Amino acid sequence: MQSCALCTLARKFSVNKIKGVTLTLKKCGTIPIEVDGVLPEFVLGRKVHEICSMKINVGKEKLDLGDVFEVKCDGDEALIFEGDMNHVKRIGELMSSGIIIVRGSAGMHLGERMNGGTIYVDGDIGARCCCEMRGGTVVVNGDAQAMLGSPLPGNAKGMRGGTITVFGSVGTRTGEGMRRGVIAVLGDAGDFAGVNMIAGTIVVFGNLGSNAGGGMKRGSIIALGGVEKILPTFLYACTYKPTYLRLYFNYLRNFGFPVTDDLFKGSYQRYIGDVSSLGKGEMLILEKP
Amino acid sequence: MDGEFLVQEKFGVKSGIGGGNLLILAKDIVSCLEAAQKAVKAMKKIEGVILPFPGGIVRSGSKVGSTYPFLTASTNTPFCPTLRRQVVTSLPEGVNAVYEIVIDGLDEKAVRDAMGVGLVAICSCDVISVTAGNYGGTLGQYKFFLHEILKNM
Repeated sequence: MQSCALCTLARKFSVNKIKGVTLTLKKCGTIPIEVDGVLPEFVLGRKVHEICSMKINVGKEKLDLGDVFEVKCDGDEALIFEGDMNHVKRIGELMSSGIIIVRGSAGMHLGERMNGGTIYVDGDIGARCCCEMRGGTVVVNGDAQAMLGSPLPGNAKGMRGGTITVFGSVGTRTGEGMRRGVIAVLGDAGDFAGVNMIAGTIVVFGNLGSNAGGGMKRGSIIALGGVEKILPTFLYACTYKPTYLRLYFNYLRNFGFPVTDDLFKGSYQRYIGDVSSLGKGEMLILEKP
Repeated sequence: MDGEFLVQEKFGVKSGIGGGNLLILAKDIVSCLEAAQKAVKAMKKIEGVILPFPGGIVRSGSKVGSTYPFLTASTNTPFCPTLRRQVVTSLPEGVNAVYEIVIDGLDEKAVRDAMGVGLVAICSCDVISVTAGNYGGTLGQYKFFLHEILKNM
């Protein structure tokens, strides 16, 4: 498990007071804007006119970044996006280092194939975010739509590493095809969480939707707030107190998740599955006292 | 690295029996551990036996044989609650924890007596059942039948 750069940063700075390059959306709209390539490693330390002349896709046109965003440089700690960015896609795609802060909601494909750095979103995120992510940390202070950490269309393997923390709810097919890494959700998870999972860990503090773990080979799904429906191909093994969960809870506590003593001391029902696949995965369901 | 390591230069050596064992099956770790500790306390009083594992209790029991030809012993998977649905299990429903006590002794009577007092102690606790590894009856020349031992207590 990697250390949380954002938490380390938060101890030193307030996220709202962080200084860097700020891109403020000039006009709200619905035409998709794709900002792949606009990354901290390419933006920080450059002059305003250089940043403004970077090319981005707006619908089917290629425009200068300065035509769409107002650029302000007052530091080099982070790349900051401001405004209603539900239609701004590919923020942090292929990111490898640095910090991105989104003050608002973000569109689809956030953090796609990123392998390092930290993205903090103070809002919701769209569908298909963090697809095939390999490393780094994403913190979402809102909801995430479907297919968080999933494979790209046509591929089998999803997220391979890194940590995604969502302090709201997530949609369906979260962690689909996951092959390591951690997804932690404070709210509820939609149906088919961890479907075709290969490895990794999904922790849901709220309610876990139906058919979680379908086709799962390995990996762990931890349900702390109840399960909608368990697949019949998941078989009850035993009720016990998994020691390794304490490590995860200590890790998640650092992110600000409400880890109480009940989680440490509680008993968990272990279901192994999916037996229609390799069947070496597990679902741990916190037993109500 | 905290002082001296003292070891005896000369030992007495005699053929003994290694050994008997008891498997305690309970509904949770707390009740299983309580029963195991009570048994250990009783068995330590018997002369001529030792409980070679730390605290007298085995948390990770082993079985004879494995998938690999070079490995003669492996995890006692039939008695692992978390693997209940993944392997052939020897666990009845409701068992969520198993501990083993291994007894080595100078002679058969000492091991038998220790197993007897251990069994009585375990039966006075909240456990689901107590058994022992029999390895198909082919391992070793000594056989300790639990019902027989209990009858003579």
